[in-house]
Amino acid sequence: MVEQATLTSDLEAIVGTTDIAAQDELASFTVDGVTPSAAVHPENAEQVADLIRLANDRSVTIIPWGGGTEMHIGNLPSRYDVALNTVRLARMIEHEPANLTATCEAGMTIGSLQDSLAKAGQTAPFDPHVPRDATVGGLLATNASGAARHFYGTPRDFTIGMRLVTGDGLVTKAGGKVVKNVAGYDMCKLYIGSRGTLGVITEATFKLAPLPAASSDLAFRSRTARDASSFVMEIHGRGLSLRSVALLNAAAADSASRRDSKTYFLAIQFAGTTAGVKRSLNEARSLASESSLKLVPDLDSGDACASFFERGEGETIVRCSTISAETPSLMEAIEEIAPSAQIVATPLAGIVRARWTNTEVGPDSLAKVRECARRLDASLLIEDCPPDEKGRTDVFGPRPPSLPLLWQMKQQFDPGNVLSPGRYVDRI
Amino acid sequence: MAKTQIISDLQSAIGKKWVLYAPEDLLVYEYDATIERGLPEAVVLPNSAEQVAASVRIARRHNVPVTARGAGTGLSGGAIPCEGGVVLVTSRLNRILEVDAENRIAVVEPGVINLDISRAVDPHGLYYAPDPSSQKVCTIGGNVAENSGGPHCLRYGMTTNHVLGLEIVTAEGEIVSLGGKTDTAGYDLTGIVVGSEGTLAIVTKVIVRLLHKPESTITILAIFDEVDEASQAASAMIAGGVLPAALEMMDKNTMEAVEPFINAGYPPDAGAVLLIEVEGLEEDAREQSEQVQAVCKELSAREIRIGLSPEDRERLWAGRKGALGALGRLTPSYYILDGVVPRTRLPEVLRGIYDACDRHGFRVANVFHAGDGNLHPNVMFDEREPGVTERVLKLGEEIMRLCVDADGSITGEHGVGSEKRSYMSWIFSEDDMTAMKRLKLAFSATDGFNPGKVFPTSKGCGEVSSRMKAAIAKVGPDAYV
Repeated sequence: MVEQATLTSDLEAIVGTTDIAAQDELASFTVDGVTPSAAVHPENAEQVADLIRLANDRSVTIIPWGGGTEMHIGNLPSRYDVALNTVRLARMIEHEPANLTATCEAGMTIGSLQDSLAKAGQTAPFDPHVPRDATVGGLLATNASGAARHFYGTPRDFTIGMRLVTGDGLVTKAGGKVVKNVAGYDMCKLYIGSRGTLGVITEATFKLAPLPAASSDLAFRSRTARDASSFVMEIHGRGLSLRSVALLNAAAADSASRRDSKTYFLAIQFAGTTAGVKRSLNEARSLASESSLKLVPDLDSGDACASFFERGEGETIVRCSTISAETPSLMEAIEEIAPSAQIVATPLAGIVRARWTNTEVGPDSLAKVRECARRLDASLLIEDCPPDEKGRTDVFGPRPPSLPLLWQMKQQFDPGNVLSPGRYVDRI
Repeated sequence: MAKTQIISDLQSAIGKKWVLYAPEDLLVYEYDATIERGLPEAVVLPNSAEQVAASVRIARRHNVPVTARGAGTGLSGGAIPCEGGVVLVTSRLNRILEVDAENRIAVVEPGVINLDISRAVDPHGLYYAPDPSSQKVCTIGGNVAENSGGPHCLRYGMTTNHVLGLEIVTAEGEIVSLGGKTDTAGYDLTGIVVGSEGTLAIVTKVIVRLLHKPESTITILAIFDEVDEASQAASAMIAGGVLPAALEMMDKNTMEAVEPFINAGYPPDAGAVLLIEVEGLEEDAREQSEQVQAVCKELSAREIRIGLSPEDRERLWAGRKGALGALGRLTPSYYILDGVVPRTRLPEVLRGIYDACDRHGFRVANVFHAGDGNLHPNVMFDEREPGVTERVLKLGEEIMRLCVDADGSITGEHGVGSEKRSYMSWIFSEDDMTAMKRLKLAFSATDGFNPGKVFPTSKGCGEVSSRMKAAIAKVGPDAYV
């Protein structure tokens, strides 16, 4: 066990007395019911490296902390002593609009990053519906995406450079500041989605996208998930300016008080040139009128798209990934198992996210949903569930065939096992 | 003795016919699109992942390296067996295993030719986006190894953005799948193997993402008096919110070389042309085309030509596509460079390149992906002139330095290979490279795949002088950039 007093003074020696959280603030850094003994706010990569070296010397474990919006995702930490909060690593480092790239520190929130880029008519192509208080580092660590994934891709697709401090304190750079670069291994790919188990991200450079000149929403009701999904495939196939797509089941639509509670709800956002958006709207309306879909007038699709990231207390949340065509089957199958589940899907990317209140469904629902995903060749990540359930199961699902390589990677980059231990696949 | 044993082991694993070892047969496999040479001790042509795995295990047992080879069109010596050993050719692994049009996915073997994927999925209105200039002959396996780009990767991204999963054979000779049609748990090893230049694994299957073909494509050729104006126009377009599908530039020397052969109609006194392609819905393409033209006019474009029909567009592209072939008719040899700079630094870096070439007494033709800031200066020279190769290479090094000093990189799409290993330290610190070495160690403690590439080592690919010739391309109409 770590001696609290000496740990605090060692941490203070690195970050100073003001950049260490007070005891009564520690509860806000709780992960899966475990509250750390300390939380520190380093202000540069060197301090992060010093903290990691200290952790190795003293056998202390660290969990990196950004906006805290996705910290519920992961297996139970096998140990958790110090939260490394990136709140002070929040500076914009470089944004040259004509290069269509930007570099910022990892603790910068998506909200402030996007606000700053918007002044030049640009955007970092993170899903436009991610929480504003999520941080750049957190979204890279989770490779998070939502309703606009088919349009922008995931962070792995537009991150061109990173700085990361490895689990033994090497301050490293990956990639660079140019949009095309094949010098050496593409280390960014390794770090993105590694959920704080290989290193602490301190800085990142992105390819940006121009903000669309126009955008417009449409919403429809559909009796079946299949009809809605086929409609989406059709308008996508025609090349219409589809940016975001969220297909909600009745329970999800109802919960957000989108009136009708018996049908599926399809929220679509078109974005692009003014003329392109106008034509997309017209064509989608006319296609819908020939189908079983019913147009819902005057609705903003934004909050429907944001439901990919919503969560509540006492819930189980699963995120499944399947091929596009199987999206409706998977939605229907989950509804059959857990009728009260709120489900949001994006048929183009094959993502189906379901959440339910633990007290409202049968205790074996999660196991059944997992089995059903397996039957449909879908992968399933348990984003949230009761801690005792997490103790019994690997939230990432069955062991992937590359598992020995994953352990080798962990061994190479965090040999002392000081970063987010236990939280990753196979409890890496 | 040992050599005879490895040959007979390989023969019993994959069949006598598919193991080559006679010196005259091996010669065909000692080169790629660079002039570097490296003779393998044996060449195998496996027909399945199992045969690949068996070959790797046999080579490992005999302690010789394995170098994978696709079509041999690489521009960094990636397929050259620097340390001999076994060259594993993927030409028999050339099946398109699955086309899933509804889900916009194809599963192919590594020896499939890039363009053949688009041909196969064309009836479904789909295509495979990455389009290296060699796409009629280069293989997907090679594209994966080098993370190949192409003119249209400005908008659609490189190979890595279109590969969803891989089946690989590890250095231990095991077959492992990475990634897949859906999201999979674990570190993104697919993203790591793409671009690893054949040093981590041998790819035996590739799952690629397909795109819907755009409704409308417009090609715009803008002619400028000065290179500066053209490069300013390129970055002004992007700053103004247009992201074209492709944005290419050719300078005066390139046009002079091209004109007699292609008759593209380039004015003899023009300084540079931009070739721009915009696409999407008809409305989008039209609006973007207008924006592009406005920017070009503002930066004093003297003439703008528009191609709407496939034939007209093809004509506008002809000069760009035939550029290297035409250069080959003008000069006995040329050195194709590949560097990247932030788009805004293009004007100053181009000026620097012309200056440096002047100082060293060489002509240079710049034909490149301006939208990405990805430069391809082609330095013209005559290899027969004594001492010229060393001078050209010195100039090449100076140009690479210019790119790095402008916050750029030493390679945008051709790869590090053996040629640029020594430049890695210009952009990466010891610690940065340690991280890469650790990644390699996680895959294998041995150096069994394509040794002598990517990392600076004391071992050379042949003698130093011949190694440094690696990037000097063979001259001829079949050269690509």
